[in-house]
Amino acid sequence: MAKFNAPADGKDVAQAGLPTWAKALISTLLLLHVAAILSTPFAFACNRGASPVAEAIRDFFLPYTGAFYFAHGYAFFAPDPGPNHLVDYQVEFSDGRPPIKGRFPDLATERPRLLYHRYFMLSEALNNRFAPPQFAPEPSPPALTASAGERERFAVTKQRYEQDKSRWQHARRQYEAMRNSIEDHLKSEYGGDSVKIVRIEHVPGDPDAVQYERTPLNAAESYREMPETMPRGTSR
Amino acid sequence: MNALLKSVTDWSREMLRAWDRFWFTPALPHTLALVRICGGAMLLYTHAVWSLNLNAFLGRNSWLNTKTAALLNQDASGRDYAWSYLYYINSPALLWAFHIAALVVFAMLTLGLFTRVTSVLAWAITIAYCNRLTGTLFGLDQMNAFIATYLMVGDSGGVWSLDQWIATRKLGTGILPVLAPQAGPSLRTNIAVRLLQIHMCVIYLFGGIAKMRGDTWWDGSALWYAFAQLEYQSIDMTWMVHYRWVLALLTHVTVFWETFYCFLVWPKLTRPFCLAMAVAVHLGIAIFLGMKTFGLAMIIGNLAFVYPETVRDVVGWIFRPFARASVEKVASAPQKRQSLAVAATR
Repeated sequence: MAKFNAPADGKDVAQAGLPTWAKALISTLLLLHVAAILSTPFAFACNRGASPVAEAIRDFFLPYTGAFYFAHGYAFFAPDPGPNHLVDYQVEFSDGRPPIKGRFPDLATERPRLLYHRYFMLSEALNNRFAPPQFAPEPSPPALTASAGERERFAVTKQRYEQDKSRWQHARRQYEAMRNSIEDHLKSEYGGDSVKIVRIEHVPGDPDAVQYERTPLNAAESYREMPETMPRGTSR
Repeated sequence: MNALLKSVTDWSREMLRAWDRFWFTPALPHTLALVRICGGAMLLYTHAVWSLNLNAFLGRNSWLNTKTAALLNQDASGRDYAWSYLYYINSPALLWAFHIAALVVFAMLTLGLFTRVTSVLAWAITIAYCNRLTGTLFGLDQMNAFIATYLMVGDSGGVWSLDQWIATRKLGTGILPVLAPQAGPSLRTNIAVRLLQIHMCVIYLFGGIAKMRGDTWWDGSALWYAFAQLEYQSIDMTWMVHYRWVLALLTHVTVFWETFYCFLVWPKLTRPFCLAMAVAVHLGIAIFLGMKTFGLAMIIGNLAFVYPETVRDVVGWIFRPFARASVEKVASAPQKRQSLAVAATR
């Protein structure tokens, strides 16, 4: 213990004089912690939890990783540096005042850069949470002449469909809540009566177009409105 | 059979010894102290920036109100472990009071004042903000959260802290001695630094794996597409389109370095190259892609791999002129007192 508290030299310090049971206990906790911090990125890497093993491990550690803000995939600029997303808004007034139009993020008004990035992440999050208003139709039941195996397979397909539908309902609820909250904020900010918001996708410049045609990164055709009905993922 | 048993036993013993060395060798506090100063300053800055639009992000009519934030933290089966005291604050005055208190805690952590208490408070505040502000966060917040977590584990106030300044002048002796961080090597500090190191490896490993699934990281155009994102860009690097082989080379080096960081950072021979690459990549992100805070936070995380003796020597060398001036001042103080006493007797 004397060496444990020895003056700072660090090279000849003996290992902590902890009893074996204490080391075993700490080691167990450390192993659990390391497994926990691996669990979410592992599940994320396995197609966002498509592997039942990855999903089970992530779910087991979720109370811990959720409470400690460790549940992340760490997929920065991955799998590819994709398009960015912005939000255009229009606040309208019933008393005849002209509408107020704006866009976020906006580097001109949101300073310092970190504040701008908060608005940027807000618009990205709204886009990431988008779920179309309708879900895919239910799978058709097998024919009356179907074999027992086909019926069994249909039962599993139906079960998966219901699970997916439940996830979609949740995602849609989240998206609508985000959208409504942003609209409510803008209404209260400007004292407006109604708000329209449109998600905008900004595609990064194609290297050939930039090099040979001198196309600027903010070319009008690189921005496009994201429709509210388009299924997620089909735009990319 | 006996030979096989013996080799398995020897291997197991060696494994246990290695595990024991890795986790249970007390470490000097200098590395963690530097992480505390830099990480604490980053926490302070990150949260100070919220002050510019506090009500818009945390007030009653915020961009994402509390109900929405809580829903975003829920998974499809309704589970939500993302706690935050900020869910329950509706009054703007109370929100400001809590926010100012949070900034004071981060400043105290940075300065190393009551570090054992402020590190725990800083962790709780950081997580509470992260959980409430879901939807406006990015990699910086993930880094802030895990740095705050591990600062709570170790004796980050062991050196270069007001705690030590108070302790050496015996100002606080007897008030709260249990709160004084350990100045010498400590087990808790080693565990904190090891956890930081492992977490950095996890981040890079899965960051690399995620990139390996993308096409542009393989065809060499990923870096171009990063530079060509107007919303990220802070310095126009599109002139590099004329040097595509450079872009491709940097793309491939980045993804390989990131994926293999967790192997290359441990051996003494490859560690300096691995860390130099980390500094280059993250300075690049900071300077060219408009994410100074995130780039710096990643560099702070990488500090965990610098030996405390190296940190002590380098920081000591940088601040040598100040230290010398301080020593001279202290040395001249008794002489002054003596001459004053002599003058008084005349």
